[in-house]
Amino acid sequence: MFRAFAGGVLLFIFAGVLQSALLSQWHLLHGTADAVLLAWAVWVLYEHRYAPPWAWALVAGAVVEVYSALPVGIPLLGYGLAGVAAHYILQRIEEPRIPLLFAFVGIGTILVQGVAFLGRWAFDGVSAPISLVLVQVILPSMLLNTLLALPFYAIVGEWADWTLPPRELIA
Amino acid sequence: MKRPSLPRLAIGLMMAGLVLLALGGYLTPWLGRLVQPVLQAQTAVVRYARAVADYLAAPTDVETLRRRNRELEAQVAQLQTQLAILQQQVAELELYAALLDLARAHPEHEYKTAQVIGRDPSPFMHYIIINVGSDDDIRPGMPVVSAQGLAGQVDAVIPRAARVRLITDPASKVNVRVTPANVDALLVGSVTGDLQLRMVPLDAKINVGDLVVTSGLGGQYPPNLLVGQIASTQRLAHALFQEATVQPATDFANLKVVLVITNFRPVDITPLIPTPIGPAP
Repeated sequence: MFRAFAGGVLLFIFAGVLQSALLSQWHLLHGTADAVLLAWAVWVLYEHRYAPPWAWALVAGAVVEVYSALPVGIPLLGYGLAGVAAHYILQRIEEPRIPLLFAFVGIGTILVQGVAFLGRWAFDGVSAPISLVLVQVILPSMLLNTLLALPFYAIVGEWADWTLPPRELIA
Repeated sequence: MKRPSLPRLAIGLMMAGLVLLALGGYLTPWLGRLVQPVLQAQTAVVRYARAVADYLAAPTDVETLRRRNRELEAQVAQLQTQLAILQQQVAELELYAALLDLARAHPEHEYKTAQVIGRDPSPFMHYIIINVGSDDDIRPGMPVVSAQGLAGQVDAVIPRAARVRLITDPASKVNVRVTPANVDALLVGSVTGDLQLRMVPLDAKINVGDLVVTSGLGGQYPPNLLVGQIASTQRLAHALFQEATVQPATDFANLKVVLVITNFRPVDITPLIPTPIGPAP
């Protein structure tokens, strides 16, 4: 239990550092990849026995909350919604992992970015045409996340294998 | 005494004649032709002998060459590393020289140099994180400039770091002046990072290429900091104001080092703004 919790928290902190220091500089139009979302999406494929996906999503959202200047609670809400969606999906389908990963990444990107934009609109008065936001920010971000999903799957999968106890011991 | 026989005498005379001809140089061409095959044979023998000798001595030479090659490769790698470090130092030096030029251009300000160590994870937030904070007397509201011009304003501070809101952020508003038209306007950011000039009077004559500098109005930024240049103008017949897009002077995509203006304190004029009076009960 402790190893799983520590492994997840360390993973999301490292993903936050990677996101802030590196990935936020790489733009496709005006979208960027989200390392924390990708790390979360892979992690919950491996670990959803100790804690449900929405709980891990709240941990990931808390990490982003520290790094981001988004209004308080917005990252938690965005990641939390993505976690609820993942929880709903995992209750029905557990395999195969790769299509699930792309589903989590796609749905997660839309929810996290959509909530971030709505948060800025509600709290900061920021407005922009929805089509512009979709075409210039959300869809390019989703494409970048999709492209990086498999490399993250390989790396985070190794991390999960190393940190999580063997499955037979969990049961 | 026995007399020589005739054949022996003939042979002796022929040999004496040949010797005389050789001494006289008459046989040189003939001798050259006779010696040539011998020389060729000797040259071939020497060449093959040397080849065999080289083959037998080869292992030590190859080992020597390989060792030398390794040494040279290591030396090349070391020199390439030194070259990369020097190139990086030159680039940093140029950057700091540009920042120094900016500081000299505005000697009335005090500056604190800071490195950009991160960016906001959300693409909707145009914020950077710098490596100076309250331990370095950085306070919220302090203006931040790059080597080219205005970059943003300190938004939040922790002991060893600070978060800076860039002027491209959609919630950013900067009071600016367009020169040489000497017109005041409002510069706002956007989700896509474009800068829009708002509240420009219709009768104001602004042109592409005009400079945009901070006006100092509102007390949020000191005056006369370069912001950018007018890139295009829009004048609609039915609109109350004309608009323009501004090309920022700062390259926000490659922001590495910035200066925080530490002796400027923003003024909060919100209490002075009159509030609308509601209808009498």
